[in-house]
Amino acid sequence: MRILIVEDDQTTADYIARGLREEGHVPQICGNGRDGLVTAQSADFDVLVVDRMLPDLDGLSLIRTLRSAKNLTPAIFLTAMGGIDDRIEGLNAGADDYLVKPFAFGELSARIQALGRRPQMRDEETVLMAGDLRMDLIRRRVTRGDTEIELLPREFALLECLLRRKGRVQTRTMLLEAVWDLNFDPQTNVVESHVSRLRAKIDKPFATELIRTIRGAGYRIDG
Amino acid sequence: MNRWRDALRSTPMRLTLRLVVLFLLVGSVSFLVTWWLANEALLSATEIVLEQEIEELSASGDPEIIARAVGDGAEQADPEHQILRYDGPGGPVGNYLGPLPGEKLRQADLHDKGQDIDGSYILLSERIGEALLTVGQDTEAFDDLREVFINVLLFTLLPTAGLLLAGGMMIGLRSARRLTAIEDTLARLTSGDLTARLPPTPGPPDDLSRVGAGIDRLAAAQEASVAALKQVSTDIAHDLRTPIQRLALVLDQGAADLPDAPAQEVFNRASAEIQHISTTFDALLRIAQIEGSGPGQNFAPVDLGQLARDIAELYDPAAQESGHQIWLQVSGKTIVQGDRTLLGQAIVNLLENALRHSAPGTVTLAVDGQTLSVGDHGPGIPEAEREAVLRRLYRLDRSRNTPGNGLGLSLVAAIVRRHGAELILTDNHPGLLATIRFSATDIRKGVGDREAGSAST
Repeated sequence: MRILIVEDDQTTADYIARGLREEGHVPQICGNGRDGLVTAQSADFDVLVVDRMLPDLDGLSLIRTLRSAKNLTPAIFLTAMGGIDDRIEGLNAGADDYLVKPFAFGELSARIQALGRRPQMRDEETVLMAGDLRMDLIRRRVTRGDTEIELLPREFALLECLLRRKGRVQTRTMLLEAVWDLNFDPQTNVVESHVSRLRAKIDKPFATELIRTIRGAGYRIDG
Repeated sequence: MNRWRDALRSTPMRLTLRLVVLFLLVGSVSFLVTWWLANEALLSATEIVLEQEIEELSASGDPEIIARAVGDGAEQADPEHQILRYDGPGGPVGNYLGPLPGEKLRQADLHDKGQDIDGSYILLSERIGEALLTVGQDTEAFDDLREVFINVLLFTLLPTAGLLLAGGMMIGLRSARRLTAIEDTLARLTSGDLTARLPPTPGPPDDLSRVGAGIDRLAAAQEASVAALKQVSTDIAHDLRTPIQRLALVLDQGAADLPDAPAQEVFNRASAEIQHISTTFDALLRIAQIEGSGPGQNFAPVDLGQLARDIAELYDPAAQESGHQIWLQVSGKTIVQGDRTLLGQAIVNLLENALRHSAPGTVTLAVDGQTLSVGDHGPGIPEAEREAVLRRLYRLDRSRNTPGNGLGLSLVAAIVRRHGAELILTDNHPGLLATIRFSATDIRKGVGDREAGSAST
């Protein structure tokens, strides 16, 4: 993926770029808002990573300008302000996601993945599959091979979320937002507990494990 | 109506009332004195007239001539206005022959149906030898005088008092309006809206506008210092987070680059510590922000019962792993005006506290009417320290070695305050019962622009 990083802190930008390059992406760095805007408009990027506080033109205005020019490249805000209304302000301006500094690289990488590639499974898809796992969204049935698996509603939602973004890492906070509609960092391993319950039902009784734990990042189901 | 009640209670109205009472008192006294003096003057004038009459009638000194003069006079006189009588040796003569009360000058009520006498008269009697000559005059002049005085009273004193009262009421209403404006502005300032200012008042400056200007200056100073504080915290946030961010990324990279597991473990532990630093830092900033901000712009109706249900469901597996059980009680539907993310954070903090500080057992999460409560059966918080635990970074001695940063409850307290609610910590016999009580007016009040935090990826 071609990723534009608009970040005034050179060190942070370099580390993000290096990490993304190692994952096979093609990152490009802009040090201020005006350059960022010009670059974002001049080339076709898959994802924009934009710091909220930038010299010359702040991130919020940058995204607003892009959006009003009908540029819909997915964008993630990075911010040093973990303010209560900042998140909503950022999303209202047209950003697709929002990360508060300091973040772990795994979190950013997972979110870039989630935004960048168009979902392989479209929303109208009614049957999701991974390996021998089959999830029928209309009849709300989950089977692995010939075995039917009973899931609680929330386990069903969790599995659906992982399956819809098959092959991509879902971090704990992403799952918390998508499945529970809550956005804060719990101090307890709440998501882990739910995932391990789900695993007990769809992985434990079978030979191959579908849900993989990605250290320091989150979970992934490979297709 | 409140407006009128406020106007009646206003300082100008009270002063006016006192002034009117004083004015009426002084006016009435001077009036009565004047009337009394006029009355006395009229009485002595009447006495002179009556004395002259007696002198004329009794000039001869002969009882018979006097009796005849009295008889003639009485025939011509109108008994309604004039009384003549002579009690001489030949018996009483005159136009009034009824009983005569008293002697000398006096006022008396006389009645004689036959002579058309019925009313009040001023009488003067004088002894002439053995006989008694009495002349009298009706009190019409006195009645007229009284009437004049009453008219003067009615048409000057009372209207003046009325006008004064009306004027006072008007000034009172006006100042009540201005005071209400001051009160409203103060209320808005207290609730955190530091942009609130008094509306301009027409007319020349007075004491109220001086007070108002003082309030405006205070608010402006407060606003400026809060803005400066915000700027400072934004700067600190930026200047501290940037290096923390760098460090986090360096450690991530280091962990990824290192081939052997033990070294990676060290880097991961360092990453976890950084996360802890930033969590504490975030919590402090958030508390400051929540406390420094006015009523939420992003407030929207939040179904508290549903939020509690979601959170209980989220924590259920983790709670079971630690041997706890979350007992959820939701009765009725409780909709509060608020920020879903913040309220969720408050519930989560209370719940995590309960799970962390109590031995395996039941933790209650209840939503009932205007209250949300979390109860545990842990060691609780000693009554003396219940205020203190709401302070930032305060930790009970026994929890120094458990995870946590001492900001959980103060963040809850800040969130609760921002929602105009109340956080009450009580004894759960045993354990801690934390109750958030929302004010009745906050329930189902207004319509917000959007539900905060509903925008998820």
